[in-house]
Amino acid sequence: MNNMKRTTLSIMKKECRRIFTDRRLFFTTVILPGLMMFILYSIMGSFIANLFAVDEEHLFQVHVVNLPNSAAELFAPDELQLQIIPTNEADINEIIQRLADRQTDILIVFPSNFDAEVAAFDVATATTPAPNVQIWANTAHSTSHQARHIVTTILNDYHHALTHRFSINAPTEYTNEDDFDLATEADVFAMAIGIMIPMVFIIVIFSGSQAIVPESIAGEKERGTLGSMLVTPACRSGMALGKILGLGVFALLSALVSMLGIILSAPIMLGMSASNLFDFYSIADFVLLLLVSISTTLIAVSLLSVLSALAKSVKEANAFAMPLTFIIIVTGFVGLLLGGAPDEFFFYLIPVVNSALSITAVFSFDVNVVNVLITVATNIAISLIFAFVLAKIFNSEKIVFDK
Amino acid sequence: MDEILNVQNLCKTFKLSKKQQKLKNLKNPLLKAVDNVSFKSYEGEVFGLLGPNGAGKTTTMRMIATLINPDSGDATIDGFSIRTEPAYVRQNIGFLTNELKLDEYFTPNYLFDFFADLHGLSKNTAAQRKEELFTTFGIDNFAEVKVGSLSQGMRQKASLAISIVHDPNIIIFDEPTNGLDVITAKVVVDFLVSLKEQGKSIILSTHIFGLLENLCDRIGIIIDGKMVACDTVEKIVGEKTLEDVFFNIYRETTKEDI
Ligand SMILES: Nc1ncnc2c1ncn2[C@@H]1O[C@H](COP(=O)(O)OP(=O)(O)O)[C@@H](O)[C@H]1O
Ligand SMILES: [Mg+2]
Repeated sequence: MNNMKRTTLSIMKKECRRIFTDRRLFFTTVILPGLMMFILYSIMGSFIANLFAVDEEHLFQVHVVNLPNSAAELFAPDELQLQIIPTNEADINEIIQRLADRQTDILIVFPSNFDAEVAAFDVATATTPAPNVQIWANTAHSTSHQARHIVTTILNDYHHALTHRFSINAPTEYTNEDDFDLATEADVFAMAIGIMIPMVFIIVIFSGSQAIVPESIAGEKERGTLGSMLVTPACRSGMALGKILGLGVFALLSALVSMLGIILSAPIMLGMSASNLFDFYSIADFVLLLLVSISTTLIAVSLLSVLSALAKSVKEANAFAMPLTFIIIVTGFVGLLLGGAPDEFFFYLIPVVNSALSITAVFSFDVNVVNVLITVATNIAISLIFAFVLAKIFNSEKIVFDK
Repeated sequence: MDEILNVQNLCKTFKLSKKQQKLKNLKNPLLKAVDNVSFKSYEGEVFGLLGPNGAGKTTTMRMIATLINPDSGDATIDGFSIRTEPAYVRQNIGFLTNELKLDEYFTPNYLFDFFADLHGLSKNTAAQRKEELFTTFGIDNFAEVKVGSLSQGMRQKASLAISIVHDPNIIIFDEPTNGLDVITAKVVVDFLVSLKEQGKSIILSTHIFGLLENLCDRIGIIIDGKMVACDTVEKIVGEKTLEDVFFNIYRETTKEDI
């Protein structure tokens, strides 16, 4: 036991020293990927915007309450692609709910006798409030966002044409201007980021590990330095654990720097200030993310360690890791395929998939702490199994001393 | 004389891959690399293993050093069995071969401490050993230079010092001068001599007849995995030279004309 602890520590320290004192390695595997993520992700923001662009055939569902005769023709032209759905005042609340649920595009509410009120309104004296038109939308929903843009433009023109005899989305005692948009800012952020973050996150963790693990384990085997350690009475399990933890510290750092790059670029690409991020996500969210990161890193490092130990050379180890990369990328999309993070716990017993889902959950404000903890526990348990396998490999002459 | 190493009927068969089989031009995928090898070595003696390439010297030594397991047979070092007490065996032996290397990224100073740690030495003992060995080998001058930047000779000195960081009683050298330039080879030979003077027990494999004749107390000749002769140098050599004796034995066992 003493031997194991001592060996784990020595090996861990050596791995850390190897990486942290090598400025070039440190730069290329920690700083550079983070920087790249920041730049790439900032640029990617515009592509994401395009991704969300509404397809040209889309017919916008426009619910209109009390459509006045005078305005009817404004929405009529075919090229606007507006499908006008006359709606009763009684249904307003239902439509608003549907907007929030992204099931329809927009709701316009005119006062019941709009034309008469406009005619009666005296702009000069303004003794009564101007008739008000409400436009309800959900800007986190792409088609709604676009529909609002079209409708607002039309009504603004109309507003000018009628020489300001009505107002749009004027605050009342119940609502203020912002309330007509059912998207919260957090929603917008979650939408844009939630899709790509889990995948990028997991790729970053695995690629960080891949940059160092084959070199450290298959490399040591290839260069004969592993054999030098095996001649000593050092505990094999300690060696395995030390390798995994030492490389893990570094892989985690590399992943966290990359994550920081992504997170810092996210507000920029969404046109917000960085401090907004901390309005949306609590410390607890970040702690959960960190836990998921740590456990995922352990999986990545321990799995790659086993593969590298089985390989004859660094080259072969990298070849072994290739198919893994594809699996990882596919895994990153799971959250997207399932349409968000499911609540059933068994999804969180599948390594890596559970990480993707947990991250999706955190970023979409839909987090179930128990599931995240299941994720972390599962991943750590599996890493320990890999560590055990690695120790077995270190003890196996066939693999270490094979010609 | 106290027996320090007792090797009894060690056997090791390798299962060759198709590729290895082809390379060796063998029909049988099973290669008996070490075939029932037995020998004894005594405290303070140098035991030399002599044999052509592929005879099974390295395999025998690796079994003794607990790096690979024998299929059958056993060996005891200082009374500890390589099969049942490998951890004790590792504490009592130093193993040096050119196939095992020092990590080029680190300095001799760091690696010495690292290996002292792996051997479980206390900080004090390690510091004392370091002072002693670094002075003997003249490592102080380059103790803080990364191994990758050292000359072959310097590297060899660092390797030697580190292989005996734990002051083992028995030291195993597998072809220690193989592939070294003359100067570096001399460093190794001087080291062997000094170890012998200190009364350490040594197991050595080498092609160099002179080294065996001058340094060894006992010699074992291995051919095709079998120990074909094993005795004190005087008894094996007799009136002839070791070289003559070896080639005679080789011709007899292999029926090859050389
Ligand atoms: N891990 C291994 N797998 C397959 N064959 C091996 C392995 N190690 C050694 N051999 C074979 O066993 C024989 C003895 O090898 P070795 O002990 O290295 O000989 P020596 O050290 O005397 O040159 C050789 O034919 C060698 O190719
Ligand atoms: Mg050999």
